[in-house]
Amino acid sequence: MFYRLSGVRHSSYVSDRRMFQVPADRNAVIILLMIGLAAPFLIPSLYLNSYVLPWLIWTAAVLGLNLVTGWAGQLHLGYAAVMAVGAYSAVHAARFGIPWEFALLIGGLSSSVIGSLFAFTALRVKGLYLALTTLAMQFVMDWVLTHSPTITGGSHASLQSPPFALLGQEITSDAGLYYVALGWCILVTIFMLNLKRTGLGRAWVAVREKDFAAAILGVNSFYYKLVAFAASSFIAGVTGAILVATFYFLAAPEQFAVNVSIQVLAMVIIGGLGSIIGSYMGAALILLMPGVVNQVFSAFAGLIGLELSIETLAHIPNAAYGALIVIFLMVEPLGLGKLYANIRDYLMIWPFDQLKK
Amino acid sequence: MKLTTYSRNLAAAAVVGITSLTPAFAAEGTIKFGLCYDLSKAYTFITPQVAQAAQDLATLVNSKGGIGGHDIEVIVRDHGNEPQRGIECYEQLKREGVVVFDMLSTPVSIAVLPRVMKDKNILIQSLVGRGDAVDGSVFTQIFPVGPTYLGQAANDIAYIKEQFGGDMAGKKIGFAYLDYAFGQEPIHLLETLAEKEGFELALYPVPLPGSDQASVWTKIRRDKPDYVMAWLLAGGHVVAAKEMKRNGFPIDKYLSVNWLNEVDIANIGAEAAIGIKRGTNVAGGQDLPIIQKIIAEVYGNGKGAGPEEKIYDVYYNTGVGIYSAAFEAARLAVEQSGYPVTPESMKAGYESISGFDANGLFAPLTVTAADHGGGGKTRVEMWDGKTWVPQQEWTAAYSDLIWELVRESSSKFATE
Amino acid sequence: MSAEHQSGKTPVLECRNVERRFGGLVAVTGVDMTINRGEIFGLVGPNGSGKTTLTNAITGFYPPNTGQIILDGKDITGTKPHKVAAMGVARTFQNLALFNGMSVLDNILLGRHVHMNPGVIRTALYWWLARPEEIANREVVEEIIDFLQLESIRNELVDGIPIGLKKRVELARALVAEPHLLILDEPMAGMNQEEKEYMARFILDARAERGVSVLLIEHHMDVIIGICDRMLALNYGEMIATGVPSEVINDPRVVEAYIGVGHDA
Repeated sequence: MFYRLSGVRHSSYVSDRRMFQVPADRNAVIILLMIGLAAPFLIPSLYLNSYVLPWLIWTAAVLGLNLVTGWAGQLHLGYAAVMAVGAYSAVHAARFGIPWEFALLIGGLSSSVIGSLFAFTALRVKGLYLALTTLAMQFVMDWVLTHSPTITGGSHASLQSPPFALLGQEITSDAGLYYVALGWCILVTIFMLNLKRTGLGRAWVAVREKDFAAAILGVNSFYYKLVAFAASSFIAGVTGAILVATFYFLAAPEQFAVNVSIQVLAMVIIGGLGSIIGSYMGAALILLMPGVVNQVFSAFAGLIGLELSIETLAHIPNAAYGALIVIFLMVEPLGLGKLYANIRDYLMIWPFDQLKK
Repeated sequence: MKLTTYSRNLAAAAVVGITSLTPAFAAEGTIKFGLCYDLSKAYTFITPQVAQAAQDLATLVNSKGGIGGHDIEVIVRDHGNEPQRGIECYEQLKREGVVVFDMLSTPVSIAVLPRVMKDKNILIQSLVGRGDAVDGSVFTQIFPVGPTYLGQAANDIAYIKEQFGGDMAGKKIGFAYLDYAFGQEPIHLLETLAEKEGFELALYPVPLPGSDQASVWTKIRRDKPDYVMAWLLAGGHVVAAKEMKRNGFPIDKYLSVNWLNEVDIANIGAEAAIGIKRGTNVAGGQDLPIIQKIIAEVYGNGKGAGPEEKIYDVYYNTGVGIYSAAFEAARLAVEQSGYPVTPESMKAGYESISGFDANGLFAPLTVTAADHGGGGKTRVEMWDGKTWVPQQEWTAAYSDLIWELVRESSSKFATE
Repeated sequence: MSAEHQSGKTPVLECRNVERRFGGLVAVTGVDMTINRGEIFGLVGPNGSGKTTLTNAITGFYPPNTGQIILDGKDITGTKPHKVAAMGVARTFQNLALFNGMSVLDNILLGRHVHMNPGVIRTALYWWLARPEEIANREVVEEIIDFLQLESIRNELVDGIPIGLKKRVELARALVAEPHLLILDEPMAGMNQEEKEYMARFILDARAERGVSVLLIEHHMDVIIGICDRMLALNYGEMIATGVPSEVINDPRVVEAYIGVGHDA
């Protein structure tokens, strides 16, 4: 903690471009990774299976949306629709007998194709107009799903996902499914970390910040926006498929409806545009907070002997949770990731903070 | 010091918060029902009444010694209609020893269905979720006791046929429906029936959320159907009533799905609504032995689970209906296999319910291993300005056709 | 106009009779300009005389309505800006166009974009596919950082550095692209004398060491006279004088445009 930047020197460009330059960060990541790997032995299955696992999957989804919205700066309100494409293609592929490895790939690729197709039309407009166009794409997908029994399996439909398997090994245990989610989330995270040090990431930031300046540097903004949509859609597709395969166990249209798109976008915004750690935090806050606030609140009400009707008991935590989001955004409009970065930066140079100012 | 007291209280709250997260020891001797309901989002028009009914009915049963000497414990939680929280709720209550669950939400019921099937627990799924879940041979753990929407639609047609003296040839039936899964479900059945009975079917999709029906009713005025069946929800009927008045469509030719209650009638206007019809699986009103008992013995002793005015609502009766069947199943389970109630004994209990009608609250119910719906009987009732008047006996029409459709759909779920 | 052509010199850029209108407003008309390899070419004119419009026409932002633009003997009229960049034209902006959220190093690395081939799979498999390319380009960037003396602020965010340094970072970003033609749009605006001298020195060194041709837009006449080989003066979108700086700045039309009508000139 005492001047953690001291003694950090690089003797090659390779070491200068390491993922985590500060030893303290590196150690923290290693410890977190170890906790992640040991989680099935540390955490009761209830929390592993119904909190941590979905949190990891949604984090992967948030990272994917953050790629297109945070990095490349393109507002996207149809993300759940893209996830749906991946989920349904993968489940259909798996039901057809294709091994899950390939089914996931098929899911990702078909999302990528559909996502870029939509982007092709959407990218002719910018900003709010783009947001509306992507929203329209979400509605189109909602309509297609509710009106095509062959895709969704009929009205009030749900399409069962075959048991998940990798390398011919069926994975059904809580721990096994957890590792699948963890593995995917780590892969996406690594990709995003790599973005911070490659030309692709730089090109996206350039397109986001000043597209005329990007153009003068030879960055074709239309092409890179399209690539951003394709890459983000690929992540969305695989994530949607994994969500169905390891958490919902079946695919239903409501799982990918417009409210889900809004929710993922909320996770991105609360977490912070372009922030990786923020994506983890945003997903946790939006996904898990309602339940936690609810429990803490009912425990608290029980503690002070408050007699409330079940309805009030259900509504008050919602209000508290909404207030929490407002407070967070008031304290740091750039999101939880920025809040974390502020604290980290402060500790990084403490006690020499006055030097920085 | 003020600060220390405050932090001590906070610490105490935190400890309670944490302990409440860990699975509590099953209180000795109770039979638990887990109600993970949407008490804050989309289903709030019905969940408070049903939850209150379940709790009141449990209080009534417990006051008479419970089931085989064991108290019924009704656990109510909110899931906000979010699959994620519904699964959380299911996984948590499962670990607290609950084996019978009720989600009362289509998305959440669908989300927990694979888990319930895998864990071999019991899911009460009345009025929501997949319609084909009545097929007990496929959905072994799911009990959608009561009619399916398919059954209800078929019974509506049977009622209309009765009004035409048994001949529907050349008649025109309108079907106004919310354009998503719930509303679309009966279309295929209605098309089949139209062919079979020789009537003409006119479809009127209403865009979500159902508040804009102007163009639909203009079309209806032009088409002049003999009856309009309406698969709309709550406020949708109020909008429809206004449009009927404007377009001169007689309200007594309007036949609603069961989602039309006293609140909606009040919004339409008790006078204006005279003649409106609805299909239902439970008798409305309070003139029923079981409701009278609850009023006298539960509310009379100040033990009601909520405000008494909630009782005067058909959804309360619906809740009492769902849970009298559930408690009956539990009673049979204890009778047959003793305490504790396991998923197997509860399933067996449900499947041995025979001719049970909760003293006239609903049509006699017979659940079998193949038919988890219990017969699917409904009847049409009419609002007379004060109360609901039955227009026919409990019926279950076109059963063979419905089962054909159900099996066709459920077989798709089974093929894996 | 081609009188200035010196035998043995090849033109990098030729503008032939370039005209650009915005609706009814004629921003630039009838401009002929030739920049030879290794030349520092000055472009002057009062505010609104069409200097920036001309650069935008060359770089493809506002393609000319009539006329031709020829780069290295190839007609690039109407080519998209990102393609023009790939053909070897780099520029800096009057009002700076750095990416504030990025470090100085990443900003300069972006200048290497035209020499790199970034992609999704490369990024995913960074260690095998992207790192060799990144490191190779980093070496070029470090050369320029060294050349422009930016080592100490390499890892700072662009946000936090003074304007003089920002101008230098932008120059670095343009230089790492190894352009044939470098367009500098008022690189010394808002600088003090010392900074101006530094910048002038960098421009001269860049030509000497890297053989780059420069189109320099500047208001500071001392700089123009000091470092430009030839120059062109614009007024109201039209050429008023072209040639060697010492001659051009004494041209009565230039004096008039800059100082106003002389009473007894």
